[in-house]
Amino acid sequence: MKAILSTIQLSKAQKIALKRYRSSAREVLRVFLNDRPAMLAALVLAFFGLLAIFAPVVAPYDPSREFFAGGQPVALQPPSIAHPFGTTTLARDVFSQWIYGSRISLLVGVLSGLSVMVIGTTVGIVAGYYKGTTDLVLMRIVDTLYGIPATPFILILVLFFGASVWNVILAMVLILWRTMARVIRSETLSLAERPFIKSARAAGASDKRIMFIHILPNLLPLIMVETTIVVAFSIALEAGISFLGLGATAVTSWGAMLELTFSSGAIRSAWWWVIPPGLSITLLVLSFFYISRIVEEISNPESGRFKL
Amino acid sequence: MNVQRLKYLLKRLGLSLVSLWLVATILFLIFRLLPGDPTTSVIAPQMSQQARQELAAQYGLTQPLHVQYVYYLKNIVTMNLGNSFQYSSPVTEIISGRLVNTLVLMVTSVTLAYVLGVVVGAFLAWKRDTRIDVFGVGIVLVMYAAPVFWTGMLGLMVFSFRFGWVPSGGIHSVTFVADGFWDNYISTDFLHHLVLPVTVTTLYFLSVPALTMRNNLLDVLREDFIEMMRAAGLSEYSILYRHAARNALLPVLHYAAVSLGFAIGGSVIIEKVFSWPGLGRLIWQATLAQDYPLAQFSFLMLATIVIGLNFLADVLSAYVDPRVAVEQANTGGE
Amino acid sequence: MDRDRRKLLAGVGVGAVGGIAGCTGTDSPDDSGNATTTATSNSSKKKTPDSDRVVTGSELEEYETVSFTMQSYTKSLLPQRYEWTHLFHDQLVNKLGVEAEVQIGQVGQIFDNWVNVDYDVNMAGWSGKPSRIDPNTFLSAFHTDGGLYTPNYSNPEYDELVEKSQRETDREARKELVMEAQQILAEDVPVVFLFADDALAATNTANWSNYTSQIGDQNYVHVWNLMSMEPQGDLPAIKAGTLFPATLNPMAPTKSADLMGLKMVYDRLVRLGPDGQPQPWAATEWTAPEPDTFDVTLRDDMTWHDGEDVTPEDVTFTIEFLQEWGVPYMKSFYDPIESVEVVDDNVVRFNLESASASFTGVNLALLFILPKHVWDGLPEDEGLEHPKNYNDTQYVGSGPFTVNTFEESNRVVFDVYDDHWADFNVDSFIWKKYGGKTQALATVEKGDASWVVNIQPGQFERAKQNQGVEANGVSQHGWKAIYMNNARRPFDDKMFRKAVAHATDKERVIKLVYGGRADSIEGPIPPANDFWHNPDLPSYDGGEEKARRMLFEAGYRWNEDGTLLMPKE
Repeated sequence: MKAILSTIQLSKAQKIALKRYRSSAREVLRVFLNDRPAMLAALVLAFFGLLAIFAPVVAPYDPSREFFAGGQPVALQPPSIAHPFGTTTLARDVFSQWIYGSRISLLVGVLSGLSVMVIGTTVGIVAGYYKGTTDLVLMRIVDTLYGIPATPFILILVLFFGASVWNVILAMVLILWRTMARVIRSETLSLAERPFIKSARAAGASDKRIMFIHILPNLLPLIMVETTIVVAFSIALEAGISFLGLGATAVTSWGAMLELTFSSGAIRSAWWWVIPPGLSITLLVLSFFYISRIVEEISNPESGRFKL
Repeated sequence: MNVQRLKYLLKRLGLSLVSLWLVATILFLIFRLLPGDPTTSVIAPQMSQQARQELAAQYGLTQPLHVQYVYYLKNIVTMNLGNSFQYSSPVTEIISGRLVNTLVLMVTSVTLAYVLGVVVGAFLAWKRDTRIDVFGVGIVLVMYAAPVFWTGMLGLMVFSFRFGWVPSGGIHSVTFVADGFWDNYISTDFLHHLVLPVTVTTLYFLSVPALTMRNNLLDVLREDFIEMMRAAGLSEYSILYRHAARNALLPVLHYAAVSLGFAIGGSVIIEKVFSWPGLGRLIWQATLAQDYPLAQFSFLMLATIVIGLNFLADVLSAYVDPRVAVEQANTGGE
Repeated sequence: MDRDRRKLLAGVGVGAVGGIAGCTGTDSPDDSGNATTTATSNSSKKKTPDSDRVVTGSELEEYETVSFTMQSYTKSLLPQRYEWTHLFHDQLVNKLGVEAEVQIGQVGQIFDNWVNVDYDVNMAGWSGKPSRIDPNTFLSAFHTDGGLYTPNYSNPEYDELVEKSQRETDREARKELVMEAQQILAEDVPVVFLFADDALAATNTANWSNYTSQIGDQNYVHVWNLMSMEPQGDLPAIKAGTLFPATLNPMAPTKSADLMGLKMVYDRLVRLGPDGQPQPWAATEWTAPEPDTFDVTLRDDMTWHDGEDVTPEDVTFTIEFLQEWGVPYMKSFYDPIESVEVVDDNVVRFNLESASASFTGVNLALLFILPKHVWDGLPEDEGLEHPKNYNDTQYVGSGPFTVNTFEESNRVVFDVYDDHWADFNVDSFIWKKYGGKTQALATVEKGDASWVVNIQPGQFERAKQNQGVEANGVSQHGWKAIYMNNARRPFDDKMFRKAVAHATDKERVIKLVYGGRADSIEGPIPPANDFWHNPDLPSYDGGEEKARRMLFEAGYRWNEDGTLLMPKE
């Protein structure tokens, strides 16, 4: 890693950033620890991450098990010791469903974020580096995607492929890579004009090498910021799709929980069922925003702002 | 200069049209490949297999795909979009009514969000690096992070179901009688139905202008001429609102068009929460019912609006910052 | 393979950390001991079989796994059915060890598959329309070729009984035949008859009184209710709901909501009364000189909404017009009519293709009368491919209501037609569409709408608490069933079907999904249909033990994992 990094010529800001990386993780940690919101965000993420991983251990019950007492279902009960978040109309434990729901949100967020990162970055670098026709064609596709309203598009695709977590992720990735590609491309365009790239080219480095050894590392902070935002966005979007009744069918997700409170009319009384999933989505998305900001700040200390 | 701007805009217009054609094509392919017999949604159990086929023929569904495609494009150009499978009435008629409802809600929200957002953003920039700024940004972000359907549900829970202050959905009361077309949208009955959806969506959309305004202002405040003013002893307030804000505002405003496009695309979810009879809800229902013509053209209508608004944003940015046009016209990129 | 896929889905989000199967015990003290861990998100667990019922090693060669797909509808379309599909799926997996997968699809696919019998298992339901009080529709549904949607079930003895009952015009004699037919179905178990869930409705009694509910779906959109309802002041009658007519063109109906709207505007010769029995309406009386001939006498004081008189020629024209152009949704009602003629001043004769005991109760009760002077030659004059494309905004009928406004997907305002002979306390009737039952019910509670039907048990309980609102839950005669394709293995085996019936715990599902508000059934004519219902049918409540024993005795075995096997063909 160090060897690769040392071959790169850096902009001023990136030099500062890199100095920080190098000077030690302690420095980054210091920036981080001084930023209370970012600290909290990391805690929230860690919390939900652990919740998702250890769901079977943490969850008191099977999320789809129905509870009976005296032969009657324990349906739509307010919180109690046995059911900290109450029960659903089908006499299921909201608390356990909420715990399992974290899996879907994180899975969708992370998978969709990573896929968008790979596709968006590749397209962006290729377009920005080769320019000309390649650029024109790729950016035409991106432009076209910008003309497509995301939610209805995902809605239709999911109907087409069938409602499942994987299809929701697939549909989201198909449309969400557009922003990543555009941002990376414009950064690549400017990087490609830098002397160090020109000299690498003059030295006979292959295109591939220039793109992925010389340009890519310089894009890393930007990629990380953008990816975090995509993760946040995907989580929110998945919840929306599930709310339309088209998300994961075989598993419990927060959006699907909210859909059920809405369609069954439970929102009129069952606050205990409405608040946890919604609040969790909010917290999770918010945390990713703050993480993206701290990444931005570490790489570009003068910034300190949110990209939306 | 003007020639270049014109050149640039014409080019953007051309590209927008190409995008539109591509979207239409993608849409055609998606819908023709959708599984399920499209005639089922108009056909009741009693219908025979033969009757089914007749119906399919009536809707042109038995033609080869490329023939269907040509008809499809021709129909779009001539705005002859055929009849909905579910409702026997023309698609254009159904869509236009819904479109107005969506626009009324979204234009109102986005406008309010930008007016409020700019003010909030300027305020936060003024209070930069204070506790107010940190908390203010936090609240703005929370509103952006919270799923809008959830905040909508909370709004319904409290203000409609609990207190009964606002209706639980729709745009008119049962017995409402409009006194002319515009009365549909300016009557107190309509406003009563509008207030909750508009509040919820405004709070949601407010984040982008607020944060953009704040960020831009922070940039502007760092520029040399501000330093000079400061040196000249002008008050912070006067620097902010007389000079800096003006420079930060224009870039924010041309986002408005993009935001509106985004909002209209997101209408699917918002309109479900508030039972708002708009285009988004129509797409959702039509897609579920496999009402191809209706779903297809409502989607195309949404896409046209989004593309149109993106183009508008380009136009605005060309006017706001003439360098854009010159640069773009010269380099050929975007 | 299917099972693996399901497991994969079930384990979503697990990553490298480990499976989630087998989480949490079923031995929690909260549980009634009736603990079937139903799992939509977990792989369902199979029971370990008794050792003498297990085959291993080379013996396995002679067996194949019992696996099938269970088709059902999306949650957004039919939330309750979606839930019970999964509940029954899990019961069958747990209790029998079958390899089953739930397939959720759009209405287009799943309904189509049901009609075309393209399924292993299809979760189906029949709504309780008043015209289905007559046993014919439901019995025909299992006739080898006379009925629709028959699950490839065929029993000549049964077919003969149904045909006889259809011809038999003596009510008591017919009842005997109907009882016997039900008995055969209960023995053969072509489908697992599940339950008839109660029709749950809420009416606002603060602003309106004197509702008349109709048997079945507990519909309030019918003349009897609109005639009896008494509003405070000059309030109109207001239906709040999610169903809504897509068209009010009498030549274009495609669903029941369309018919409900149309029957306000277009009169029928006969209307089914609150009890589902045919009542005189546009016809004052009807006689059957022959079993296949009906003479219907028309009222003489009826006018069309444009002032013209209603004549017997309008009636004959309507039938001929329908038969000429074809309205698929109405086809089964006009098809059996061979010819129709005016035999007297005011008498129309229907000559049927064969004797029909249900002609007045079904056919006449569903066919509208159209004005000849409006529709005759209309498609030609307007250049229409089919009269269903006519954009009629006049809606000239002879019914008790005229259309004031029809706003698509929003509301219809019907005004009382003053020259109609029937009397109404309301001046108009508004049918308003809502985004969901929750919103519709809230409107009824607030007093802004009169009634809402087909609400869920939770909403029903809520409505009961409310002052000024009356919640009515009544048994009805529509029903739900697990349709099994009798032509596919292993459903071609009666013993297997019976075992499935035993393994199906309806009571549990009734409690969970319907809040206990449903009648368990063993045949297609539920208890609510008192006269035709056979109360002495065998029931399948043997549970898991019995089901497994039956399967064993019929030659089925299990492998070591507890998966059910059937002998290879």
